[in-house]
Amino acid sequence: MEGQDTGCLAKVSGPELASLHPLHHQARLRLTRMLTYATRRILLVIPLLLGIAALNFLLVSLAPGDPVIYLLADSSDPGLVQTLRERYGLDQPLWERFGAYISSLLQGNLGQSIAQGRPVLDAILERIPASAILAGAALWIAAGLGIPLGLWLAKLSLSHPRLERSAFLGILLGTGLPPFLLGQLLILLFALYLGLLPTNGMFSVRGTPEGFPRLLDLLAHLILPALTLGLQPLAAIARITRAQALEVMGQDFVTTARAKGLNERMVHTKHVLRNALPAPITLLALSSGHWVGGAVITETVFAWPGLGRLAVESTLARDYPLVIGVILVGAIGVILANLIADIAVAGLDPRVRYG
Amino acid sequence: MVREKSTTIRKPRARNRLGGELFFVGLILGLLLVAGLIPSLLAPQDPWRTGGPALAAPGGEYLLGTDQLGRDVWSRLIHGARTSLLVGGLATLIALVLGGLVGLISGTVGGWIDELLMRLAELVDTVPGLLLALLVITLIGAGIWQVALVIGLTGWTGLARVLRSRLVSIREEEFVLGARALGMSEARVALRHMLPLAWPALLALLPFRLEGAIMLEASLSFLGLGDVSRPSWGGMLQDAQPYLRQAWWLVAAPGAALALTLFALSLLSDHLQRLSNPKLRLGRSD
Repeated sequence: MEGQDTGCLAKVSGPELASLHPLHHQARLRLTRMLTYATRRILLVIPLLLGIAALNFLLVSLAPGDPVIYLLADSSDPGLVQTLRERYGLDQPLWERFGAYISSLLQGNLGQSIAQGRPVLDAILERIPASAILAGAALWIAAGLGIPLGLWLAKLSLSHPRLERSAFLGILLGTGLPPFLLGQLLILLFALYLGLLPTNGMFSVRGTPEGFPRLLDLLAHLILPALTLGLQPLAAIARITRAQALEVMGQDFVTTARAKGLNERMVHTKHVLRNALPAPITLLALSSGHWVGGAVITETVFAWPGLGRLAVESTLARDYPLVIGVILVGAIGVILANLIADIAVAGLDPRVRYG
Repeated sequence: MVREKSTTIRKPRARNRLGGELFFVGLILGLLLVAGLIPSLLAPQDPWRTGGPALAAPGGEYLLGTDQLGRDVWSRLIHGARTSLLVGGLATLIALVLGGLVGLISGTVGGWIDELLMRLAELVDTVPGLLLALLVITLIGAGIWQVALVIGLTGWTGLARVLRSRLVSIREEEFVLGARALGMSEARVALRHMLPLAWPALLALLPFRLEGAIMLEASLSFLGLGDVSRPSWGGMLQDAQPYLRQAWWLVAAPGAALALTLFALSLLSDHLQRLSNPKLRLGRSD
């Protein structure tokens, strides 16, 4: 809403106003406010990250049992146990280990994987591209289909309420469908019965081609996992967009927009959609933790070589430094999602950045 | 209630539809409860008995067929309901107690304690629940109690927040001021005057929590990280993976049970949200 922006002019002092061209002034002021807001928001991330590191560290330290014993399943030679404890620094007191842990984290060192015998960071970095591709595709599906679907449902509920209720129940069913179940159903239908799409991995095992055919191969492998990961958030986004759009449609400024002769399409895109959009964006960010969980499941079902599968593999191998590494990366992902969403909402809704 | 009456007069059709939906919810949850409490009533066989033919199709002696070891799928399904209910119920209870305590303290005491507890909730929310569960299972192993504990420990934040925000708005009401003016202790004001008004909001969230807990339990079992000594829907779905082509019922049976349970719970929580929030009920929106 352009009208809401003009309020900020009143807050600017005289000299500042005079030094700028009136047209540039408003855009520039808006940018400054956005930057201030973004900086403040980014600074708040640091204590959160430290807190997560502390939480992980405490969980590991307080858990019963000695990780070295797991590692030496068969032999319990005391000398070997001692050597390994020293090698991983487990013989130091708790607070010293925490200090060492934090300082090595700050240097970008996430520790050594017990099962893989190499730095945790290496094991994680090589999995990030696959996870990013899957999450990106699922995000496009969820937001790209969920938001229009929600708007359509809102319109439908005004014209055909009974029909809309059935559609809403379908959405509710979709929200509740866990990814491992949906994934298996999709495999059954598209891969086994119809024989259309591959069911596991990121590329074909035999003779991976180069260039464009390789991209097509990736796309074919991507469709089912991306649908599996994206459907639950799609349903959730459609649901909240619908509720929000219904609320917005009842507001006076929508009536005004119609009264001044705007056609329905303009009313919906410029007024209803823009005012309803902060809700699904916030929802996406708030549910990003569930996304990580969904990715763990989806990657397991489709043998997708991403971070989620790494988390499961390292859990099964009781490789806790690697599990912690994945948790840290997952938490950073959640924090980033919230950060981006907050800034996007602040960009859409002036009340947030001045409030 | 006057409001409910007016709804009845205005929208008789909506009322009937509501009845149908709630009947469905009651039916599913009732079946679940019976299966969970007295599985032997519904399950004809021992869920572990491997006597039958392997991968027999549904119908005949085996209502929903048998799995790769010749175990009765229907019986395993019924016993699996017990696992879901037990873990889900326990986890929800843990989350309720933790979230209730944190919300009560945060919402009534305020100050730096409130700040600290809310930052803690934010911290727990930032770590994806399933990953935290994986870490705890890496450290202490997977049993039914551990799984319930882990799910409960990650699920209390929403409950705490809702209770706190209700209490914070109630704190400003005049009757609270009045109770204080009468010389009641802070604890008495909080427990006798504020909590009774705030806890229904908490209650309305419980089906939603239970849904999340059952889903997380099934996810962990599916990953092979649940309690393997009990039949569970997630575990059945995992076992079915190699036999997808030959035996569709191995996926369909636990899948349908899980989907129906989760659907019934989300429908219930949708209705409860409407009831507990008059703004949603009276307006045209959700």
